[in-house]
Amino acid sequence: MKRLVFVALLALCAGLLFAGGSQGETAMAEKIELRYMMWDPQIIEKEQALAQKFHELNPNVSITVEGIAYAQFWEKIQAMAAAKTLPDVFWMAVDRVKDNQRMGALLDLQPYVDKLDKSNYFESVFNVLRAPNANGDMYAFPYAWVVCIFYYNMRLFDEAGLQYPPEKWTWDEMRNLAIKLTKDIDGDGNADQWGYWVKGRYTHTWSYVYNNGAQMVSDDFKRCLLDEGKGKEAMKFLADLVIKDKVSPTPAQTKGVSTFFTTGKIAMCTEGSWRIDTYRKSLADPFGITYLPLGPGSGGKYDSFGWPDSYAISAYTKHPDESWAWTEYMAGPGRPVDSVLGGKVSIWKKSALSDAWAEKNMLPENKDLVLKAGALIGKNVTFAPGWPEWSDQIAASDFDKILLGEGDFDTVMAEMTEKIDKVLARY
Amino acid sequence: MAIKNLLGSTRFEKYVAPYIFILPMLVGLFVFRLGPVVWSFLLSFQKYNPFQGGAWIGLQNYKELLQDKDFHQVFFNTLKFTLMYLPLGVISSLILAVLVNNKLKGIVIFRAIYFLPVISAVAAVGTIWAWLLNPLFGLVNYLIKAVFGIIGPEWLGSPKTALFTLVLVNIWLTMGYAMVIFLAGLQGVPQELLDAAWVDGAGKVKRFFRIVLPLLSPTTFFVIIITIIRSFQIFDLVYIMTAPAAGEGGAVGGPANSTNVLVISIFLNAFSFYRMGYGAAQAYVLFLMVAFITFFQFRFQKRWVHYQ
Repeated sequence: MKRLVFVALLALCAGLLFAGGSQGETAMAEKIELRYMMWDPQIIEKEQALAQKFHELNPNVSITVEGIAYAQFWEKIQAMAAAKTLPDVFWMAVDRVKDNQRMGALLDLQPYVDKLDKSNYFESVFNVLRAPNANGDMYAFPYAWVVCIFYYNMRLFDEAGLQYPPEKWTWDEMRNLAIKLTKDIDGDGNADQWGYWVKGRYTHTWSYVYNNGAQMVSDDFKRCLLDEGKGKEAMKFLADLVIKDKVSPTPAQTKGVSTFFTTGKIAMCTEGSWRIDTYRKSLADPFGITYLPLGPGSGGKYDSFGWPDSYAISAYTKHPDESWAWTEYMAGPGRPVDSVLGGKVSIWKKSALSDAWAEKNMLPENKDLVLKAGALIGKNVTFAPGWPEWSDQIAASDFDKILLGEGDFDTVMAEMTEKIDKVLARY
Repeated sequence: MAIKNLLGSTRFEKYVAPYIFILPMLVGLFVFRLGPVVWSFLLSFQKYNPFQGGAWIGLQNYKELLQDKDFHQVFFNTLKFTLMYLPLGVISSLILAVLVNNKLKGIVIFRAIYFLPVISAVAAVGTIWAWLLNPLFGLVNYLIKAVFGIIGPEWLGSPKTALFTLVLVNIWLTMGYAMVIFLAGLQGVPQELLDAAWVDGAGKVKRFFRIVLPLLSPTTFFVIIITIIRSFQIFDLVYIMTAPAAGEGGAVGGPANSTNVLVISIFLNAFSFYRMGYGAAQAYVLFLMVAFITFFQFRFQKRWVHYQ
């Protein structure tokens, strides 16, 4: 009898154990942990708070937020991709989408995007994230976008008794204003206030190429077009502002200062709209924004250079649906408008068109121009494969050579184009 | 019992135990040093990216290096950096070591101060120097204008001065390290030789050049070798002082490629442009340069290095 009771108890215990085990396994199976990596460790607490909110809405999904400084971000992503241990969701730079897609690191998001109600989003920005070309699928999903705009220092215009730049204007008008606004204030024979700042980086250069009716590379990404026609004309216009007209400081003078406009010594410059926030905080003078001047080759057509900040999902994720849910949440109602203020615009229209985003009590007074300029974004060729090499390294370095007087314009442009062609040929 | 016997046996202690003790080191050496050396050599003959694997392309990467004008500039930038840094770095460290090699009260504090940059974070040092040397707003040019009434150089801003500026900052950063080595060498110079020379009427300068310097030659030889290797491998300072801010766009090793050195180029090709094979080929060019120069140094050391 004792033995029977013992066996029965044993069976009961085993039953309970397995019952508990299976329940535990079910519970375990439902608990999903996603890794989310971004390149701005300064806002990690805000991102963690959003992750917590998402977790409250989806109790079975927990998000671990990791912040890696931008300088190390891509090396880390590359190493993780090689080891197939990429985070489930991570920030994606628009210029890296095609390269990463080509390498098979990114999940195709098109099936998810197809199910979205696109009227809630600024859909024109989506195209830039398609790969391998404008007809391809989306391999990243935007949460905000920015656009290049023209800034001017109101104090310097007022002091010179000049009208602020209009919304529709030309390169010649811009050059004339820049000449009038360049001054040698301390009388030492050198300018110490400049009408314009040619930074020689993508925000400046490529904006002018587009607004002269040209593009940097051909539609099939096979050929650099900078040494011919309207593209070359745009580069020459910018180079002349530094070399001939001397209305801009040289790259040597501005070395190491990425926001030279904040010194109050620059009357006009072209920059991404995200600088609105920087200039509010760091420029002592009032400033305004307008559209870029149009080049003679534009035919009056304005072409905005803008792009989104986006999320990508790892091709190796075990939880694609949950990763997409988190992405959709962060790119939609989940992301509070105060995380995309200044010159960034939420991809979620309700957020972007809200009074909170308009910030009517702050400069610039016409902030809605950012939205209007954004509606004119469309080119996909900008972010051709190999961008970190051909745009950031080769074009920037060689254009500096011209601006620093280290090489003849035609020779350097021809060399630059040849080098870029070689890069494009590898893809 | 058998194990106990084995452990206690002389044969075990002689033939097995030593290898067990050095096993962790050997594993580290093969996995983290020799393995990558062999692997990167094989990579240099491939078109390789970590996502898609490699394809054998023979000597194509090396052929491209010979035709790549930017790489030629990188190669000569590295040589120029070494040629400037070697004499200036070694001489300034030696002068500093001679200056702190006396028995003044508080000299230890000076030695510590001169050594401080060596243990400072390169990122912090590079960033601060970049600000100090800013052509328009930097403290250095401000002082030059205030004291001499002239406009200072463009330092990192101009291709003509950028590489030399990096040499100067690197000397400031590393001088203390070689100073400590020279100091140890100086303190090993036998006092009786110096006294004998003094009795014979040799002045301070003569004693330094005729006695101290020759006796210091093994130390100098060591310092020269490590200085050359370090200068060929310069990376962090150049990266910190020339890389654009995050998201700004622009080239590392600027302006106009004038400070792009070998390790920067290897890093960019391998990790930014996903060209592991091309980067590995550049790494082997670096290896050959260092090996060639070090070989000749050892070969000709007998002519000027005097061991006591």
